[in-house]
Amino acid sequence: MASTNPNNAQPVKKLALAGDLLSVARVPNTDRLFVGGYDGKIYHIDLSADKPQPTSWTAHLSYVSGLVLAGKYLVSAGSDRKIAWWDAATQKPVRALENAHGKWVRQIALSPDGKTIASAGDDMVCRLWDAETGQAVRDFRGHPEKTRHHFRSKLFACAFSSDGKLLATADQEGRIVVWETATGKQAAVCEAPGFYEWDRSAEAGNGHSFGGVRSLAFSPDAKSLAAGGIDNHDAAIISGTAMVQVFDWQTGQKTHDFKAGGNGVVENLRFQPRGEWLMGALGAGAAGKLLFYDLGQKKVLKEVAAPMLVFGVAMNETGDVIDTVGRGQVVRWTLKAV
Amino acid sequence: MIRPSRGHYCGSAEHLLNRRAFLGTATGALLSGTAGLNMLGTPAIAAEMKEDHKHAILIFLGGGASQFETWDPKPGRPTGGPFVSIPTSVPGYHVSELMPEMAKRLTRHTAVIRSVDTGNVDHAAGARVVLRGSRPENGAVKYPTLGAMLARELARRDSTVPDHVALWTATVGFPGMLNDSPDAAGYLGSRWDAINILRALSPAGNKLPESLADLDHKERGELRDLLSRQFSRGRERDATLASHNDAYSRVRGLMASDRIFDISREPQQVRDRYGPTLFGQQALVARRLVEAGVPFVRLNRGWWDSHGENFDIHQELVPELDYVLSVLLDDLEQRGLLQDTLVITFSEMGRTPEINNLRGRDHFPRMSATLSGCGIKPGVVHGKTDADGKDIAEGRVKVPQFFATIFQALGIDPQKEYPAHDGRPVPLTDYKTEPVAEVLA
Repeated sequence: MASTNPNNAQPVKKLALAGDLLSVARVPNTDRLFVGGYDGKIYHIDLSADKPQPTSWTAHLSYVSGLVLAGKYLVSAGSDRKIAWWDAATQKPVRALENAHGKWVRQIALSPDGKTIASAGDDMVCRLWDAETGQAVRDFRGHPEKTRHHFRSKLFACAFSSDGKLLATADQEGRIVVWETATGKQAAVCEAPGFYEWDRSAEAGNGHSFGGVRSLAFSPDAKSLAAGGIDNHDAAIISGTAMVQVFDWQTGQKTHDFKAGGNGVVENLRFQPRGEWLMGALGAGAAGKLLFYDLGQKKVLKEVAAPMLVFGVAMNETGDVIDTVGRGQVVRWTLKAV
Repeated sequence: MIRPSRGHYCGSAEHLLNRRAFLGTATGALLSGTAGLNMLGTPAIAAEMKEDHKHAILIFLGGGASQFETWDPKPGRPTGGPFVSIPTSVPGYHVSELMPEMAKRLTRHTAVIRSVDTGNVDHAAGARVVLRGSRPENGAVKYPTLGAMLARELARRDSTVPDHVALWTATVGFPGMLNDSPDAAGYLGSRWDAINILRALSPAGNKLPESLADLDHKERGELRDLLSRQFSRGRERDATLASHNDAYSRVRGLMASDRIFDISREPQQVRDRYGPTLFGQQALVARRLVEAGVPFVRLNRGWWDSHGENFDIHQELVPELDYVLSVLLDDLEQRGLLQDTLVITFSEMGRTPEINNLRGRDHFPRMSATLSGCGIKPGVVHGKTDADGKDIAEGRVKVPQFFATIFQALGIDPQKEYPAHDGRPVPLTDYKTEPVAEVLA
């Protein structure tokens, strides 16, 4: 039995907060969270209080799509193209890169050593930033700017390997690129075209696409790379089944193909720190859920209904506390036997 | 210049003429003889066709484009979505960041109406209503579409090109289009119905059979003209005969019009300018058609129905619309055509302020529309919605008013009357419908 048991998964704290909450960062070894909202605000929440009283400040013009805690800094990314540094203790602004990307910054990720931040934007560039100084370190370019149907593509996801030596990025057409973080060279490419939909079911055509790899996670041993999204069938609605594919990224071979959990998009993926399971969180779709996958057995270990669509996830160091944010709620989960 | 209302019956034979029957039968007649031409009716229509050369291009955003991600953004509001807004050339007015090209061009070309009340949240049935100026179908009166009305009004007397062409990037959502057509001309008669081009750049079936060479075809035409002239001597006042000859020349023109659909005749630089998408290429066809004298072209750019992933879908479709529309307007302007060409954009409905669980927006009876070019005062932004875009706060425009504005911009009396099937006069828009004067030049 795994030391962090998905069968124990249950919510232990809920906080209602109006609107869509899109990103979350957890202050290590505390019950404090920073949560990014649809309204450009970052909310500071202490879940140890009986009745948490969030405080907030306006950080972006629109969606706060990514949050990471890098030492004393909280770093936020937005659909307004901006990446901003904040003093995590005082919430005072430190610096703001107004045009960090040319378009919507979809995700940011913190390297395991906490020294660099990767950001993926719809300008199809992944950028590496010095977490302390905010200086641009390196650009990772190689995803096509346009889809095969001549529309601008989107770069939805980025993730570091646990040793920080690799950085993976994924786009709308299901192309996943693994990069050497230190050099910027491409180490491998995995193709996951099942995440991309172009008028598959519409005889007369919709004239636009749908889909993309929305989430990525390396296994702790960095041998496997998981990609999340949806196996969609209709370009007008989210009609398909939540999908996770796992790759041996060095060969590009797909090793796992999970279509489970019903209608929804796997927008967040996290491996348990020892690799005992992989968790996917369902965002947009019929219902929010947490899905726990056993890669060894190639099966879904546990499917847990969430009280809301889940757009952001933070996991503690041991993998037994999971904070989720989404449509109108913040929910803390425990995987410990209660 | 507004044309006076016509209070008389213009003749009924054209009402019996089906456009596709016209093409099929008359083309066949041209190739094989004169059988069938007696259905072509009198040339009475031609006598009333306009001498001046105005045109209209409707870009119909089938499926329902979101006003929030185009002309009426609400960034930072619960209904706003992820995109920010950008300033335009109109001081104080912002559009979605997805429309940088049109943002620069508003004061040159375009008026925006942010407050159209469609009264409709349905695709196919709604499109039939909205495209007729929100006049519901009923048993007694079959109202024509905007395209049929404008084709009828703007058609040129001596034209040998089609009067009404509709190009479609997608037909999803309009499954009955060919049989239960949103392009039906209603009481105007099928003479004014559209030539529909589905997911292509030119009509099918207007080419000569392989067994007939171009030269043979031309010589047969010349022989027919010779015989016709001899036969016509002393019969100059025979309306049916005149109509036959008119029909032949129109069919010949339609068959020869293959070249006006052929964008390979454009310099590569121009083709590149319109971009590689089907919509972009169809827009170039539309420009060629207008340049060749076609009075009305409808570009059906679908499918905007975004019940799921509204923002990703609009992130594809809006930049394409922004780019293609701006290129089209610039091209028309540079060719001296824009002053006589009205470019219209609207949908059958807008999209909801609420963002649903699929990150989509559903159907909503409020939308934004634009008018550019002929007869329009550029840079005007009419109407306003409330802070969250949940309703119209100022300047509500119902669809009949919007149509009246279109007619007025093109110099057509919005209340000009045509006879319905039962002979009673029916105006283009309902009596006492006022256009939106603010957007008119």
